[in-house]
Amino acid sequence: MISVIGPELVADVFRYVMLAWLILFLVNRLIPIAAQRRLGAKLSDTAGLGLFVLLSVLSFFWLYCKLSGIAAIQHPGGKALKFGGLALYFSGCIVYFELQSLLYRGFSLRILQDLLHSGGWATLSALQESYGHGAGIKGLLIKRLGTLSAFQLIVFDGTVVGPLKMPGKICALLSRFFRRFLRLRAVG
Amino acid sequence: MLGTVIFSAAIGMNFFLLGHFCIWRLFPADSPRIVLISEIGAAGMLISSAACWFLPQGNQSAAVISVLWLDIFFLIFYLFIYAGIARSVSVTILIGLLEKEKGTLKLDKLIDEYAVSPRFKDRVALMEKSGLVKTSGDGIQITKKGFYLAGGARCLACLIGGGLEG
Repeated sequence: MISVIGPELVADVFRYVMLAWLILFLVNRLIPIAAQRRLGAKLSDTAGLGLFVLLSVLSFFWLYCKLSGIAAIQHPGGKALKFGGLALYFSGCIVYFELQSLLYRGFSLRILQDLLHSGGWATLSALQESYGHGAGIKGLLIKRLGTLSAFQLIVFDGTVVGPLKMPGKICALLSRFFRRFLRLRAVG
Repeated sequence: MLGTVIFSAAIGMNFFLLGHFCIWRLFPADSPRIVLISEIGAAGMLISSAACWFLPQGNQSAAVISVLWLDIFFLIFYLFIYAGIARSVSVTILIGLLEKEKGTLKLDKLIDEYAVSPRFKDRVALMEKSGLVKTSGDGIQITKKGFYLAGGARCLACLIGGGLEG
């Protein structure tokens, strides 16, 4: 079989995928900074997620149009490469999103920061009490409950947690099934 | 060729899922075993590439690269879901609410339950296993690796956003 797809096409597709990532990451970083300067407040969790999803979709369409514009992509092998390139683009979006949420609310990373603040050494109880700039376990839970409520998964009025809303119930059922199926013992 | 690419990726990723499910069911562990799951994923990618090469229309570098990109997407997506299921505090809260008879819980009670549970200690134990901290008695000492990770995370947080709020 004679291949019509050379390394140049692979490099072209990869270049466009990287460019789409760069556009997404830069715009997604700059808009919250600009919003904070203008409004004097940080974007909420839901607004941040909404912005990221919107920018991901826009960058996806830009990438799709650019890849479709490459002449060699019309060959049978090219279509497979275009499909793979679009999948690779989404992989980068997921990695970026996961990294950002890890930096925003990573449990272990926060413990490390608190340890650094206390000079590199602390007792377990002191760490637990001073978790997250002194917010403690209460701060950790309230932050997560606020996000769960903002994403319409639970009802939370500040004193009573629950009940679960329908999307929350589905998430809870699926997660419980997988935790049991994979026999995960120590969880978050 | 697109069909060959999708079929090859499905072969490798089914191998990955099967291996992962079997090991996790047969040998449960306290750690999320991210390194092991990544190794099984890499083996799945190898199988996908080999399958693509031997299938009709698959013996082209473009096809194999497409398969690898598709595999990377699947693995990253799966790891994203898996990390949430394995370690997320929010998921634990959701499951906890599901198992409550009334479906509701006082915030103070939830805080008390969490404070007396061994989850914080478990997390520190996991960090020790990863070489980020060292415990002696009730004291916890950050290691060199933990120090560099904390510093790296701070730089990355400045670069891409995320306030390390925990």
